[in-house]
Amino acid sequence: MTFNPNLILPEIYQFLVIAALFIQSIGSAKMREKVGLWLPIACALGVVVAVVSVGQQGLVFWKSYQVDHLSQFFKAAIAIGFFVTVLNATRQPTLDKEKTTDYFLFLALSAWGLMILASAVELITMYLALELSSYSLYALVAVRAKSKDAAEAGIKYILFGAVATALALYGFSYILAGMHTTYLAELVKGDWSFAASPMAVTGMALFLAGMFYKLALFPFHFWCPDVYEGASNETAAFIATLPKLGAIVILIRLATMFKPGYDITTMLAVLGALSMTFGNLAALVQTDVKRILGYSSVAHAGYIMIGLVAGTAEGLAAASFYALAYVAMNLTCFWVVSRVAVDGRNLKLKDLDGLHKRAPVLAFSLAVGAFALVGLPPMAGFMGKLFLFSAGWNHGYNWLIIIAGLNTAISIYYYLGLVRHAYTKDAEDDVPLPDTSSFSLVGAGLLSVLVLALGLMPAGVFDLALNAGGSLLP
Amino acid sequence: MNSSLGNWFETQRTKNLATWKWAFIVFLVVLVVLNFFIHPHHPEYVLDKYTGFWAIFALVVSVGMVFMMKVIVQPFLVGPEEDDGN
Amino acid sequence: MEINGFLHPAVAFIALAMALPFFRGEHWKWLLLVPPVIAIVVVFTATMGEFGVIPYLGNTLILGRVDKLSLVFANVFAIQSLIGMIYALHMKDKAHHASAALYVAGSFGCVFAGDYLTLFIFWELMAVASTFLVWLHRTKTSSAAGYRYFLFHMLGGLFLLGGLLLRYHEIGTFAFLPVDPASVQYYDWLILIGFCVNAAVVPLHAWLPDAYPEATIPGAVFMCAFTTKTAVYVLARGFSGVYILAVAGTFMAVYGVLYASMENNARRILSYHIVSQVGYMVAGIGIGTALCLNGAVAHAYAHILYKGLLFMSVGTILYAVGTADLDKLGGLVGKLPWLVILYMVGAVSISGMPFFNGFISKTMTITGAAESHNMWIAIGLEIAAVGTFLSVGIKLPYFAFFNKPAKPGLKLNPIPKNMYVAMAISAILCFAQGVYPQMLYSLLPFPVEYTPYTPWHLLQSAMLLAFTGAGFWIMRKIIVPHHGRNLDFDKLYRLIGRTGISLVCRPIAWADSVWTTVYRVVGLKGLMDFAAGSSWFDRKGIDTVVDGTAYTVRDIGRTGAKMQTGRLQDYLGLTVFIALCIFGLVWYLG
Repeated sequence: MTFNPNLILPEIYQFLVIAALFIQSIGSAKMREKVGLWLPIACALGVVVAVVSVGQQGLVFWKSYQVDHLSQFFKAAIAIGFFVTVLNATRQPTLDKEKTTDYFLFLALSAWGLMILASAVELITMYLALELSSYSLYALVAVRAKSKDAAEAGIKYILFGAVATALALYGFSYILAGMHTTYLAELVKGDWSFAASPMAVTGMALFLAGMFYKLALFPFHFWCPDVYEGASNETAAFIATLPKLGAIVILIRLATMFKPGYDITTMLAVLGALSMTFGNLAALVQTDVKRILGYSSVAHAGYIMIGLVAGTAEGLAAASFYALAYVAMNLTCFWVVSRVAVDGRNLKLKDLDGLHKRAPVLAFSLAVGAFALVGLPPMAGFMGKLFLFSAGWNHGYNWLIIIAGLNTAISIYYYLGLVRHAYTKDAEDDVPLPDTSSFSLVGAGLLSVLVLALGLMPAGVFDLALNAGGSLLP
Repeated sequence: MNSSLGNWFETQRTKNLATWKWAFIVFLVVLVVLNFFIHPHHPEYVLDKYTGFWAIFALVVSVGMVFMMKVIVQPFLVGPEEDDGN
Repeated sequence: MEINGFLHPAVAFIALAMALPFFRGEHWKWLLLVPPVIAIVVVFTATMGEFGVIPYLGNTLILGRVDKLSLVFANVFAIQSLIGMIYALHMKDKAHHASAALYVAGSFGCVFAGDYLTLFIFWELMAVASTFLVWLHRTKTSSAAGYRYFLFHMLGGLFLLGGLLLRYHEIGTFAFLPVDPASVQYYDWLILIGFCVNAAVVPLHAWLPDAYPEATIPGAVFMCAFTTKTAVYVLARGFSGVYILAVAGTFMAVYGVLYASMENNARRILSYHIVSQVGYMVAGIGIGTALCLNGAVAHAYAHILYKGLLFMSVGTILYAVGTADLDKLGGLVGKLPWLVILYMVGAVSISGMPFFNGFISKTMTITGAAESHNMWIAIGLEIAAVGTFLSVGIKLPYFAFFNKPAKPGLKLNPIPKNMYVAMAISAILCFAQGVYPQMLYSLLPFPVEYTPYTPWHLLQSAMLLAFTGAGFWIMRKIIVPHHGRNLDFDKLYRLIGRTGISLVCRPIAWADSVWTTVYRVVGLKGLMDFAAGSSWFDRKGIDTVVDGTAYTVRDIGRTGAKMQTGRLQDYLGLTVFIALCIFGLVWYLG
């Protein structure tokens, strides 16, 4: 068999990590606690492996699994995100010691599922990968030191996800009936206007619902604020960032079928507009920091739609770049949140008061992350939005871009609110001090640098993304 | 050293003044005598070739200048000094 | 040794001036000697050529035109800047040192400038910096004198600017090249007037005896060397052979000595002698033959050295005794013998006594004048030579040092050693160049075919000087200096200034008062009413809209957030309902 294992090197490595965690989880009690040191190093190696494999190309596993620039770009992004979230989660006050290995095992499984999702080019494979990553997360949401809210959040996540994936399967059946194939390579050749194949189009719309649920796009977003609030800060950091990458890569693969003017594309655009508007408006009145970040995820999902409806390689590249930038910005904010909440509590806005005096580095990183999410230069968010808007203009959805601009203006209010509390207010005396160890500060600093670097020197990364998009839409 | 040199000068200025004056007059005479023997190669002015021209020139000009300026001109031109008592 | 490339000495001086405010402690004064040393090294190792060529707005600026003419001036500027800095080492006033450094930088810049624009910039720098050297003396008369000095030099600078701009307009270039004496244009005349202000050509000279006696003691040493000699350089570069300069120069030479023989303040006597000596140089430039130009340049070189020495010694007297007025001095030889010796070195140099550097330079010019058949000019210059020795060589030292015993109980301020060192260096150089003239002649722009030490030259100089001395002795009772200030052209300048101001001020003041009333009644009230109106509009109109929009948006958000009830069944129901609505609308309307 002429199978080249180099093609799936990141997945194999991640699987080895899972295997090691599994073995450790069935070991003695003492063994189960010792995850803190070797796992981050292994994840760092995983990042290296993923980055090194960026150039691989191939179509394996009976044409259901494609390794190309797009998939490798996203696998590298997933590996980086996984590394940061693992680092973040090694200091988790709400995690019972005996559950540590299990926790990371599921985290690694979820990331593995997302990596497989990045390369899946056949609908059932996509579905399976999606389910793998989702199930692993269902368990993690509820792991929060006997918190009733966490359990409730977990239930909501499971049931909502169940409905969404049920819809997806239903749609899948329609697609199979309508197009007689589940391979993307063949599906793109079909005619996707409603007049020509109404069943397949309906099926696709339903299948997409599953993806939208993962992405937290309106109206499939309702779980998002509640789950973020209920889960522990570190788990929320993972949920807020990595699954979105998986959803976006699927949407990018499917976007090749969405020419501007099709109903499906218009639907994407409408959902995007509603998502960004609703997300930003709802975030205006929140007082819980993670809920703010949750609604902001909803809004950003809307922004990414702009890239998908453009129908050009630049649009897809912009969407990929924005996904990466979004992960970086969000991880920065969640890192600060996790470090400020030393007892693992949910942070309200007034818990951020006086951060600039107590932990100036953390306050600065928060500011960088918040302003990046707004889209101010020189941060990554500005570059991402710039690429999105310029790729999407004059492709028939200019109204969407105008709405995005208005929404950016609205979003300034609540992001600035974070910074306002951190910088202009003074803390109460009885609020516990944030974590200012070197671990925390170095991490915050490096993440800020990443956000700034993506904003100041996006060319290299964007070229990678352009390669990725170009491989789909020449 | 300063004071000893200064004292020497003072001595010359006061006690030996007459000696210095006579030495000067002798020097003047020597110069005029030399002028009989040493002439310019090509006279710069018509009058250059005459012996003693420069001696008379210098004498006349210096006396005349002082006379003209101090006696005739300055009384018209002088005004109060603009000092501030320094 | 020749180093390729060229470090403009002005850079070192400007750097010193800028760095001075940052010096702390006690030993910064030794850093003052660094830029002059750098300048000396540069001057002795420079290669000829054009350096620092900068294209600017379509023209080229040449910052470093190095040829024999500019190098000889730069040579003596560098040496004199070192001497001057040594002389000024005792001053603690950093502003003074900075002004002097900038002033020297300006003159280096002018000497090396290859185009008029660069020249003008450094010209103005010199004017401003030297004004501070006058003002920093900090007396009432020096403030007024400095102000007049500044105004007059600005006027000269304006003439220069006007001339060079008109020249650019006519011929399209800023290049600093010689003027053809046969066809001097109107813009060349304007430039010439500007140069003549700095060269103290009569009747534009009165700023010199007005301001130099009022400058600080080391400041006057700097000023006597640089302003006028820079002017001589630019005249030599640009206007050699323009005959009217020869006439003007001779007139200056005689005028200066005539006034000097009347004067009372020692520094004013020396100032008039600057006018006179520069007259020699200007006359030489005006005649324009190689011998005369060589003479003018050599005279400039020697003049800087001995005039610096003279100002230094008189300045030292001022420092020690507290006055430079001859009627208040007397008999200092007993107290300050070394000073007297050093002064006399300078005095005999300026008079052209053999074995000192005045002899090898002054006679060159006079010979050149005579050889080119300008008899009256030569005679005029000889008259000036007599007068020079009369007042500087005899009158000043006689009344300051010799004529009567010193006042009993005269208290002298102790003289800092650096002053003596500086004067000694100057004196040694004057003497060395006198006995070894090749030291100076090798620097001159044209080949030198003049031998100063012939028996006739020696005899003629000796006769001239000795019989002048005899004349002084005869008139010694009449030439006694009286206290008072002589009328010179500066009174005319002041009259013109005051008349101009009153002619202009009254009508303008009247118009201004009318305008003020209009402004107050109409303009100001109108402005305040408008301001009140826009403030009301801003508060009631704009803020309402903006704040209202913000509140509305937030309330919409609050209402929208109510959808998040927290109940799963609501979520699922809403999801399906909204999704179906959207899908339906899109398909229906699409």
